[in-house]
Amino acid sequence: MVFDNAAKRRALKALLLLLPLFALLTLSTSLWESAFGPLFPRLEQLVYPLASFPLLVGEHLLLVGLSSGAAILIGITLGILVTRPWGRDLLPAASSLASMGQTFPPVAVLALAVPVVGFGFAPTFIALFLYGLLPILANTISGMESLDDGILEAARGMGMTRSQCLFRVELPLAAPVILAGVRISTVINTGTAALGATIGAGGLGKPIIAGLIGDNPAYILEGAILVALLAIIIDTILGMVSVARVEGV
Amino acid sequence: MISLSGVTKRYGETLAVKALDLSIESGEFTVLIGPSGCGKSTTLRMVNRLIEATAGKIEIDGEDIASYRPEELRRRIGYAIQSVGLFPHMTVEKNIAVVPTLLKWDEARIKHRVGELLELLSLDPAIYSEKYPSQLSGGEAQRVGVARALAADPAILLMDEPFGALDPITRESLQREFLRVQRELKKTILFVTHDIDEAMAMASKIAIMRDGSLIQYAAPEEILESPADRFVREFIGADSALKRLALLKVGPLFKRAKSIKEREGLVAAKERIVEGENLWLTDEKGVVKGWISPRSLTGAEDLTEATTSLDPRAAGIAKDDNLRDALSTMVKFGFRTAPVVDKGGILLGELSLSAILEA
Repeated sequence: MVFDNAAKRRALKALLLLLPLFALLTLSTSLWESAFGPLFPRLEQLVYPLASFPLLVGEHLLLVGLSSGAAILIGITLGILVTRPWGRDLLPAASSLASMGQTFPPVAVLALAVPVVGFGFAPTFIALFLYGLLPILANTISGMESLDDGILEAARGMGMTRSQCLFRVELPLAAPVILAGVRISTVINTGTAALGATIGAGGLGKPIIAGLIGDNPAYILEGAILVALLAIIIDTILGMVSVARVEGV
Repeated sequence: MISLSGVTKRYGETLAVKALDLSIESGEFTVLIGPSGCGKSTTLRMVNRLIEATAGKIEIDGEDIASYRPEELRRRIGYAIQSVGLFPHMTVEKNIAVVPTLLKWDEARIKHRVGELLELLSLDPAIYSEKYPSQLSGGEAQRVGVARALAADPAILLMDEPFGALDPITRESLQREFLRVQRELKKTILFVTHDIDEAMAMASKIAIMRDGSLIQYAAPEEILESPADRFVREFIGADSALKRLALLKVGPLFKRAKSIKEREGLVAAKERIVEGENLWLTDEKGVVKGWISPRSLTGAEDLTEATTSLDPRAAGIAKDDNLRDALSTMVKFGFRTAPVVDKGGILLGELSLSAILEA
């Protein structure tokens, strides 16, 4: 096992910088005004007025949190099920679904979900959940499949039950790969969630869409910068979790 | 005691093991051997039910293994394999503790047992307990693998080519070490290998298999002396006579030797020597210094001139050496008769070539 303490320290330092910056940009409107005033002198309105940034960030986080949470839960469970002896028949189907599904653009999933469940939170949740599920499923399968046969034979041969084998040996050993999938999925979801604004799901996509429609680059930048920062912060935190995991196992 | 009766394993149309009858006495070191695909590993794994037999019955101490839950059965049987299969996310200590933990031993007892086992396998607990498998050499990893198999002190040990992936030098030292451990612990061992030399060195009984059937089941000496058929003869190889010598010890074959001390002088030597035999020259303590032949004695002016000197540490043979090694020493030094000495080089007797040939 690799003990990468240096990586953890780097991530911690980055967070100490990123978190205050994000808080500042979320809470203070005057900061945006003083930055964008000289940049866009002809704009009347410099800060998105229809909702406060803390509210938008909250909506965004709720959307990402719920959809990614569900994707993690279902994705890992599915990945475990299809790598069990009795679920193995479904493994080829699950593998190809997981890799094929990621070639589907999320906008298309949104467009397909709207006629089924209507506008708002629900179709966005479904699209984000489905889209986030696939990398987690793919990584869980590959993590489980890459385990050394000798290790599993030893585990069984020493008298571990199937569930002891899963929780004491297979999952801890596959954890780094699974967590990498979780990280990719959640970060992509953070960015993709901005698209939800097009069908009325709220979140940090709202200023972006409003800016595009109303020809206001300041709104676009505000939404984009906050989404990007949020994605980087989530990526750094999940990166730290997987480093800690590798150490702990 | 493990007894297999009519044990069969079928995969589709093919029979991997055909109605095998085999009875292994407690404390016996039984080696299952045969070419690849002969069913030896399948047989081994049917004993701890990693593979379920298609037909037949396996009993341990008279109890049918089918009456146990497979996990319970396996926790009572040690298991070591070629790929070792140490868990890379656990320290050496945690790896060895796997079965005791499954059996819910208390922590202090586990800790004590792990230390005991590491010492038994010549690994310093202070150095190795906290290491991870990736920090071990192949030989060290396999020692830990064996320690892990012994952890809950099972009466039976199943080993599937445990030393197969090691380099020849490490393999031989581990074999010797494991034999020492076995002499101490007297486990009932079922050991799979395809290496006939390994089988000869380790086994108290060898079971030779081919195409899923048992061809011969006997002590190594017996297999070398009277192989059951052509297949066995070919399998044990052209050097079966030498292999047999490797199984016999010098101990019962050497006889008393005539010797003379340096201060006794030439005259005494001439009186003591017998035609066709040598006289060993020793110092006051009895350490061998050289040898005197009847021919070298004629015309010699003193004992030193008549003596061909030798180093007992190089040219001497120990009582518990095997005859193959003894023969090798004799060929190397051109002896018809070699001195048998103890650790300090003190003469115990002599071993003649004719004694080896008659053995």
